[in-house]
Amino acid sequence: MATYRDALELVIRREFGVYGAEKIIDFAAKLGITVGRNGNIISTPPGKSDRELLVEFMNRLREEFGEVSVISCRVALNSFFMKNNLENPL
Amino acid sequence: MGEELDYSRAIEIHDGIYWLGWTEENSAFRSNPYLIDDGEDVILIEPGSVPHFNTFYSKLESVVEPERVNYIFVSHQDPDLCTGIPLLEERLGKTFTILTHTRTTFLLPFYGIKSGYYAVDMHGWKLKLKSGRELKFIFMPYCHFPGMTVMYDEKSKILFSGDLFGGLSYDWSLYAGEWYIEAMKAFHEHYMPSKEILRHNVSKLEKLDIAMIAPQHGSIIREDVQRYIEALKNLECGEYMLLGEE
Repeated sequence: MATYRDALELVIRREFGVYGAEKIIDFAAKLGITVGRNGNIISTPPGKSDRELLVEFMNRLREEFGEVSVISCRVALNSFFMKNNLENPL
Repeated sequence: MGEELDYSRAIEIHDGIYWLGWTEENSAFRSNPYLIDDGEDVILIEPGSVPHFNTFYSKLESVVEPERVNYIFVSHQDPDLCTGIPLLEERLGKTFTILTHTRTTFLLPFYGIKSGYYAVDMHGWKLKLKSGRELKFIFMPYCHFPGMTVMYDEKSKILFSGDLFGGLSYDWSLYAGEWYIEAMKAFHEHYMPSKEILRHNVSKLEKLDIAMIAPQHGSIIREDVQRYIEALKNLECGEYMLLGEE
């Protein structure tokens, strides 16, 4: 079953393509998320759900990289939520 | 991968075929003009826009005498790929034959273009050059313009794909890298109208023997071409996907 962690990995891989893996790995680390070279999440900070992390990730992404970062994955995320019957928290 | 390329110069991507584009540090949306030098015929492919004209022109004259250009191919009429044409006409004091779809010929004159047209849909979707080399044109309606047409060079097996296979990326390189497929999806999800339309059109490419895909935006695909075709065939796309979000 698909989860919000899968959605977060979808965003991370998409931003690898738009900004480069190095920048996104460094950005995720600032949020306490450890990301591997293939875009997988290795660890997350304690006390936060994957859903909360996804929302925080998207908000901080917009602040740090601008609107293009959000636009570049909006359709993919929307499609993912619809296909997996997950509520869109964004 | 990993090769050092000097983007300040024209780059030969195949025998007699050159990339004449430019790089911009803070742009996710670069343009890629190309040129085919076939001896008696010289074809410019989507020569670009007004702000980049001088950069483009200096690269053009570094590889051919610009006066030798006789054809220009444009896949559709977006300003980023063809508003430089009137400047080229003015600089050289000549006109060209523009290879494009009839629908595009209705709109290009609004940029002040004086050149004539070879409407590919009225000529069997092909053009035979003086050398015998054949250029094929493949209709890709609604991807993203109703008259969208891409060009396939039979000799080099390069597909000049216009906006199709283009990418949105700040992490640009001339040749597609490990994560280009994501940059490509980021662009297509918004620009292409629907999965059904994109899939229908991209499936037409499976009949071609494609060695390289040279899009108008983003990076050139020269490895695993079929993987990128499959990715577009299966992409959920279209702004309508966002309906209800507002």
